[in-house]
Amino acid sequence: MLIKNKKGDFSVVLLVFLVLLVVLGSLFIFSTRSQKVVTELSGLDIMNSVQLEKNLAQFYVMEAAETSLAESYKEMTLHGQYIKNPTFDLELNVKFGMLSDTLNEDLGTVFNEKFKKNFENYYFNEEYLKNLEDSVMANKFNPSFDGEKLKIDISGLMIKEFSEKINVFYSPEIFAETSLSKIGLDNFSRIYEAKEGCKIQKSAEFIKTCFENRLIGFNVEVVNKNSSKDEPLFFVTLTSKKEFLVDGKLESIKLSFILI
Amino acid sequence: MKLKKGAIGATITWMVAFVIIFLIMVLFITFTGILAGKKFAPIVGEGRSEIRVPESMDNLNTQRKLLYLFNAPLDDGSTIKELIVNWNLTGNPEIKDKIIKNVKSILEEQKENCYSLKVNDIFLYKSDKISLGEGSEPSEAYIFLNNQKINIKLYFKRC
Repeated sequence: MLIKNKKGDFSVVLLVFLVLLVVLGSLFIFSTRSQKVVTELSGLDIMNSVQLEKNLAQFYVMEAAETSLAESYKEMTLHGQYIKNPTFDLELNVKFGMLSDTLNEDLGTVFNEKFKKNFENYYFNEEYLKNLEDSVMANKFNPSFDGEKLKIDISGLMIKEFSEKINVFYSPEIFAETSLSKIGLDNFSRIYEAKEGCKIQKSAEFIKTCFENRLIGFNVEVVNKNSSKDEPLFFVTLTSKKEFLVDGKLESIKLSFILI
Repeated sequence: MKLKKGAIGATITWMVAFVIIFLIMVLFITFTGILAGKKFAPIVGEGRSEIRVPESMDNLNTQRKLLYLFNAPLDDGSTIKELIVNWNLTGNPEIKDKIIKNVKSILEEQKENCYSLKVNDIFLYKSDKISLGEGSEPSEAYIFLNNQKINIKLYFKRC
């Protein structure tokens, strides 16, 4: 017999088993107790405040984005910047031939300037909004414009909230998306397509109707500037139906061009 | 030194027991360390975490309502926000009436909730069921216009 149950051996084996029992018991209690969390989130208001502040930051970004988009659009209409190699008649009316190849990039560049300028005019008192403004001023924003939709995201915002027991530090990425049609304007490609589709019409009245059927955001006026001669010269004026806040004034956006 | 046969046997038994107990202790410390390092302990036996959330989420809802109110499209394609800007620029009483009419129709959509809207310390719309100082903290936002801040506050109370 290999195992002899002597008196001394039994006490040692018992000790080992007792040690094992104590260890396993401790582990069991530790693992079961540690995941039974019964708590009341008494500081939830602080999370609420953080979310409110994030929403408000997003609201101001959206505000600035929409205003800047309208201002940039208006700037592109000045001196025919949306037209490729623009030419003018004697009265300095621009002739609309082709759409500029760099239109989206140019509008994006103007947008960046306007967005920063608009944010600079937002004089906030709250620390987190000042922080947002600093991020914009430090170019920590990334806009992308595809001719219709504008997307912008801003990093670097830090929301800090403190209560008696909890400190919250939250740095969300603020994202805003808008579009020309959402703010009540037709994009330049649509205007170009309308122009191409309508230039075959023979009278000012038909051209006006044609434009009106193709554009949503503009009222249309068409005048024949060459009525006395055989070859008509149609001058088109598009006036936005909505008024936009541009440089602190509410005004319509106008595009005028000679149809070629 | 005299070693009897029985003493040798007992010593060997204790040495083996020491090794086993030592290994158990090492395993105990290792497992305790692993469990303590985890944010979520594995579920052993019965037990669910319980988190009690206070009921007050009204501020978030009021803010959502305020931001919706700003941007909700009206019949003519404009928004309340644009009307407020226009009214501040022109002072036109017709625009003010239009704001009041549209704000009233939007804020009275849900009968169980009562709101009051204040623009630059003027109540443009006030529910009869809200007295000042009642309800939750107002939600607040600014519209920036030509170096001035238009302060807009929305007060909320369950009717």
